[in-house]
Amino acid sequence: MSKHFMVIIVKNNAGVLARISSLFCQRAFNIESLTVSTTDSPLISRITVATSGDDAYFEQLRSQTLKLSEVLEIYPVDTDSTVIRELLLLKLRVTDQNRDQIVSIAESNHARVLSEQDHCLVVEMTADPTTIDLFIELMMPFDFVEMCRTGATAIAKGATSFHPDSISK
Amino acid sequence: MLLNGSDIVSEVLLEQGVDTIFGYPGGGVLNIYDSFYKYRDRLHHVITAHEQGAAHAADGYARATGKTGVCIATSGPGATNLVTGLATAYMDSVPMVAITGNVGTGLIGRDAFQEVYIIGISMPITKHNFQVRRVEELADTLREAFRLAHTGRFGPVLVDIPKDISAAVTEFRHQPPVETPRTVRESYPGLETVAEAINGAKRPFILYGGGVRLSEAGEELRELIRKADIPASYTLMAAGVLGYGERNNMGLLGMHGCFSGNKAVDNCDLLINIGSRFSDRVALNMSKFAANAKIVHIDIDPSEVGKNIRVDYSLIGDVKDVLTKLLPLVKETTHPQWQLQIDAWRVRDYHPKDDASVLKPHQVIGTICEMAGPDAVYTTDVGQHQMWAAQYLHHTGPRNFLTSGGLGTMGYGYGAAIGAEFGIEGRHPVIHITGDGSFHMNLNEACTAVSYGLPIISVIFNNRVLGMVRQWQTVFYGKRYSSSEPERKTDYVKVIEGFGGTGYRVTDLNGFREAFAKALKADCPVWIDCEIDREERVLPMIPAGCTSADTIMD
Repeated sequence: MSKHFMVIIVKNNAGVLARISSLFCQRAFNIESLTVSTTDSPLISRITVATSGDDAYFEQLRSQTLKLSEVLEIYPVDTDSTVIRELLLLKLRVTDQNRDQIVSIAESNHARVLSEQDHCLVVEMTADPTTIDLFIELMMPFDFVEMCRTGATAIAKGATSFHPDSISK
Repeated sequence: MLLNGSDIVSEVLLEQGVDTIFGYPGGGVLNIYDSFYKYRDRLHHVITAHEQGAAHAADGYARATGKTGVCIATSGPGATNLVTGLATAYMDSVPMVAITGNVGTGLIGRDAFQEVYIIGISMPITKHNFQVRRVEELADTLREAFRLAHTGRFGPVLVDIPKDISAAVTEFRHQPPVETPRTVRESYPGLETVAEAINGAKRPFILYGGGVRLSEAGEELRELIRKADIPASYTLMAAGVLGYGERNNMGLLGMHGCFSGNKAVDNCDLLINIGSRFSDRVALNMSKFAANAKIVHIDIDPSEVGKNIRVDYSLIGDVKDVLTKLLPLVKETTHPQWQLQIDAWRVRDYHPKDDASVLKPHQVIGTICEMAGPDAVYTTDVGQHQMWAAQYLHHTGPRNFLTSGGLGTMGYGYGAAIGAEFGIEGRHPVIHITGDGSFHMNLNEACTAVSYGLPIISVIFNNRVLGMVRQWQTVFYGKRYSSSEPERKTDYVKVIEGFGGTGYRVTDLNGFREAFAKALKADCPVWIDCEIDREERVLPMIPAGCTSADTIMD
């Protein structure tokens, strides 16, 4: 079992996300996180899915997903040659005693305080998912009010691109 | 020319070469049915008793002719009644286009009368589906549906048309029918390796499935079997691809397949799977299946490779094209020792005992075969009768045995027989082999056969129980017959007479022979109620999860 990020390039049609998630549910493929958004081409959307399994699992996931007629391409993200980023928003209740300590931990970990209101801080961190996991762990002793994270999105380093013209299907 | 959406539907159907549509009218498709009235001299619409019957009829039409079958239903319950038919077609890779009406675009999402989200419902049981939101997109969407249904691995495609779209007017231009040529490649990676594996094998065995039928590769398969002297067994979806009694064609494989074929799988050193998906009714124990063999998988769908069984070599492509490219690399050879071993297993194959005083399933089927001739088209429902038909019919053609293999849909057979009748236009007898359990699911379609004068012969294997369920309860559930003995008192002769057809009730083989002879001459549907002993079982049987070593033979 290993965790991988898969990038799925799809036609930007109504319901395309429903088709992907229906397939994943139908075939018992797990979703640890999923992000979707439009791209610089209005016809194309891009989905990044984090999922875990063995080699056979990923081969099935790839070939089954590619059968959907609105899926143009699917490929695994190689962590060495790809930039993977996720956004964390963390709301913490602070006291006069621990406020400065929290701000200092956040800043030393390249997180930013976006708001401070009603004794609550909203902290933002953009990083790879593992770093975010570690940061959350670090903040655990404090008083969490709410937390959300976006799931990862990824883009390859270097000149590689996945534009409609370069798509094989 | 300016046309409304409904006339565009009719025009595109004609453009695609469609002349027969199976369906049922209703509010959501009234506009389209008004167009069908206008086009009635060119488009033949067949109204069934129930939309499920229409879906199975489109499926049966497609399986019997090789063309794409078309069905249509109204919104809401009309659409949901298609679901079992779509799933049946999807599992068996049947090319089909289903059209559903829907409420007007302005009412979508408001729980309007007879509104249902059929796109969501049918997503996992279609190759693709579309909801047409602009009349300008209607013609091309329908064309794309026909293209998808009959491209690559075939399957059903659904097009949902809101009511205002079928009324809206737009410019329409004729186009030639979409072409769906088979995928032909220069060569296939790994082709030489597979040829070497075949040439080097001492105990090769072929398992062939529906892909061979769909790509019309019977000749190429026959040549491979002859050239390399490879014995072969088939899945339910490939019965008839090679003729009964042809050399090296050993019969059905799997749970109720022949002992010799299953034995060969477990002992071969090379298993060549051609166009089959290693379903759990064939590869009963996925980790022990062909455990002593290298496995080759030839399939058009890459997702089938490694899905159920790990394979050593795969060739992805149209079976006919792959075999055409493979054959020149395969050496002419024989395997006398392996054939001797196969013959020894064949001696141990299961043969039921004859008894003329009662109706034995294999004798009834033998008699049907003998009397109906080699061109008869058979449809089945699901259960014991289906397996007996698969085992004992002398399959002669790739389009002559229509059965729900993947989904296992009880109630498939009568609709499929209606579709087959329209497909083959009365040239040959259409025989529906069913059980009393399955038949109760969709026997209402007899009214359709009467309306259209279809001489479908239904042979009912009537053991007054749900035979296959009961067989499992006998073997695995200590004879606790939970809900499998419904004690129905249906008088089939009266029922079919009530519908406007003819019925016979028979209890021995002579009686069956007489009734069947009359049925073959009839010009209306005929039901023959055959009294079968409820203790009759389908044998041999390998329980789920087991291997040929666990075959139950008596």
